[in-house]
Amino acid sequence: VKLAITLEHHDHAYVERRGGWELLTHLRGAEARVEFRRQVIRRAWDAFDQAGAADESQARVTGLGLIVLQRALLAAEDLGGVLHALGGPDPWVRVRTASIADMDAAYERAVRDTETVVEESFRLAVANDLHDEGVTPDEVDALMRLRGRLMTRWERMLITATRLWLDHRDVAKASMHGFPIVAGNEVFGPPSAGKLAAAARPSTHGRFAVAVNSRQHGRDIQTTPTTVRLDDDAVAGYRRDGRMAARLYGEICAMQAQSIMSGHKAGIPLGLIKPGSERDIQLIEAAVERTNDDADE
Amino acid sequence: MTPMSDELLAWEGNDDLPSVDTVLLPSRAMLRSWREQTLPARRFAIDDALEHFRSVPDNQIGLRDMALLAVISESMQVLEDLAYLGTAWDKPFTGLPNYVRSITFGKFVANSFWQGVHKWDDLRVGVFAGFYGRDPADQGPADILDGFRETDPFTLEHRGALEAARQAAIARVRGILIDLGRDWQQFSPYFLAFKHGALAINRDDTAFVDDEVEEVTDETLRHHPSVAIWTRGVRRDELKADFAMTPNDVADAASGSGRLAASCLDAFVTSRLALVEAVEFSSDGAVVGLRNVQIPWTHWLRAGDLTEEHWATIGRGPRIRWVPRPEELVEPDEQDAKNGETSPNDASEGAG
Repeated sequence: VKLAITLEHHDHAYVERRGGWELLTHLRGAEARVEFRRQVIRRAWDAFDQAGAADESQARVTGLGLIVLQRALLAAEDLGGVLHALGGPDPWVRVRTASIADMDAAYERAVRDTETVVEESFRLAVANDLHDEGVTPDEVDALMRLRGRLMTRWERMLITATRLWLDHRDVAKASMHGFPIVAGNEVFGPPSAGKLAAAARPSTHGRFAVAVNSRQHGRDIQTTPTTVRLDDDAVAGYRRDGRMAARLYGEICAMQAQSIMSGHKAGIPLGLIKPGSERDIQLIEAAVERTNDDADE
Repeated sequence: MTPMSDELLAWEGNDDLPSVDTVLLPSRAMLRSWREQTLPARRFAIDDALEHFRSVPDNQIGLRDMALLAVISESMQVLEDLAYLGTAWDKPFTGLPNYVRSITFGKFVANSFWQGVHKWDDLRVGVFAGFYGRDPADQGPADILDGFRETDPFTLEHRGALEAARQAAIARVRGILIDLGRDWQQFSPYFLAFKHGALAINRDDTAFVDDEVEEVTDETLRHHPSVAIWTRGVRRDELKADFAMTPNDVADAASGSGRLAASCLDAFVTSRLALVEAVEFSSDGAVVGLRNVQIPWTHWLRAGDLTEEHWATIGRGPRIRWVPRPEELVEPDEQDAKNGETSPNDASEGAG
C-alpha cells in the first residue's frame, strides 16, 4: 500500500517550489487540527473549573490546570513549528524536524521582526503587488488600510503566542517527560519538602505547582525550581492564549494553502473588511470583483 | 524509643535515617504529589480523550484522527512517566535520592526503558515492583525488608507466603512490562507525531492505494487505515499507518495500555510511599516518630495468583511494626546506640 495525493493543481512545479505536495495537504488540513486543539483546551478548562468550584483537593485541581497548560502549549508548538517552517528553505522538512530551539528562535524573531514574519507567514501583499494586479490607487489605499488592521491583529496575536510559548514551554515539556512538577501544597506543606522547598517560591496568587526540571551536566545535576501559577486567572489565561495560538496557526495555514492553490504569491484576506468605512468596503469589493472577472477571462 | 500509641513510636533523633532535608521530605513531597496530583490528572486526560474521540462523528475524519491520536498520546504519556520512575529506581544517580533521576530530563529515557524491559532478570523486575532497593554503594539489589534492622522474626509460614507473593508479583509485573513495552513500540511514533506538530495525514487530499496503482480514479480501490501520520524527523519511513485495527480498536488498545500503566504507576508510587510515610513529621519537618506500615506487596496480584492460605497470611503485604527494644535485653552501653528497632514480624495483620 502506498499514499497517493489526490489533490490537483494547475502548476505542479509551483507547488514544489512552495514546499511540495505533502506540505500543501498538511496546510489544507489545518482546520480540523485547529478545531481539535481548541476543543480539548476547552474540555480541560471545564474540568479544571468544575473541580475548583467543587472544592476538590488542591493537588487534584492543579493537576487539571497543568493539563490545560499542556494542551495550550501543544497549540503553541503547532504554531511555532509552522513559523519555523515558513522562515526558511525546505518547509516540509522543517515542519517535521522543528526542535525546541528552532521554535524559540522562530518566536523570538516573531516579536523582534513582527512585520517581516507576518508578511512571510501570511503572504500579505504590499502596495506594489496590488498595482501589478491592476488595482486602482484608491482601491490600493483602501486595501492598505485593511492590511493595517490585519497587521495589528496578527502582531498582537503573535506577541501573545510568543509570550505563552517562551514563558511556559519548559513546564509543558516537563509535563510530557516524566512530570517533574510537584503540587504546591506538597512543596510547602506543612511539612515542607526540605531542600526542595528552600529553593522554591510560592505563588502569591493562589494555587500553584513547582516544576523541578533537572538537567545532567557531566557529574552535576542542575535543578531550577519554577513556580507555575495555577490559580483561576492564570489557567483562564492559558486557555485563552492557547486557543488563540491555535486560531493563529489555522489562519497562517489557510493563507499559505490558499496562496499556493491560487498561484498568487501574496494576498490580503477580507475577513476584517467590516470594521472599515463604507467607502473602503465599496472600493475593496469593486477591486475584488474586477480582478476576479479578469481571472475568469 | 518510646511508644506514643499503638501505631506510632517516638523517635529520639539518633537512628540512622536518611537525611530529612535532602532525602525524606523531598521524596515524600514528590511521591505524594504523584499520588494526589499527577495520577488523577493523567487518568482524567485518558478518559477525557477517549470520551472526546467517541463523541466525534465518523464523517469528521480530520477531527476524529486528531482525537484518536490524542487517546494514544495521553495514554503513552503515562508509559513515559513510568519509564522515568522505573529508571530512577533501577539506575539512581550514585549518592543521590531516587527521585532526582526521575526529574532529570533524558532524551532517550522512555525508549531505552521500554526497549530493555523484556531482558530484565527477576531481581531487576523485583526492584521495579518494590521488593528490592538499590544499594547506594554498588547499585546491587537489596531486599527492602533487610532495611529494617532486626533479626529475622518471620515464621516459616510468613516467609513462605512472602516468597510466594514475591515470585507471583515478579511474574505478573514482568508480563505487564513486556506488554507495555510492545505497546510503546507500536504507539510511540503516533505519540511523537501528535505532540510535535500534529502530523496527522490529511485524508481529504490523499488516498491509500495498492502499490501498483499509477493513477487514482473514482474506481481505484482505496484502503482506510485506522490512523495515519507523517513520522517525526526525516527518515525513509516517512509515514506510518495502521491497517490492522479499526479506530475504535486502536482507541481501546491505547487507552487500555495507558490505564494499565497508570495502575502500575499507582502501585509503584504506593509501595515507595509506604516506606516514606513510615516516618511521622511535625509541621516544621522534624521527625517525631515512626509509624507502623504495611508494605503493599500484593497490590500487583490478582486473587488467583496466591493460594487462600497465602492470602490469609500475607494480606496486603508485610506489616512493619516498630517496637521498643526491651531495656532488660540491652546492655547499658548499647542502649544509646540501638535506640530504635524494627520488627517486621506481623504479616498476618494484613487486611487482604
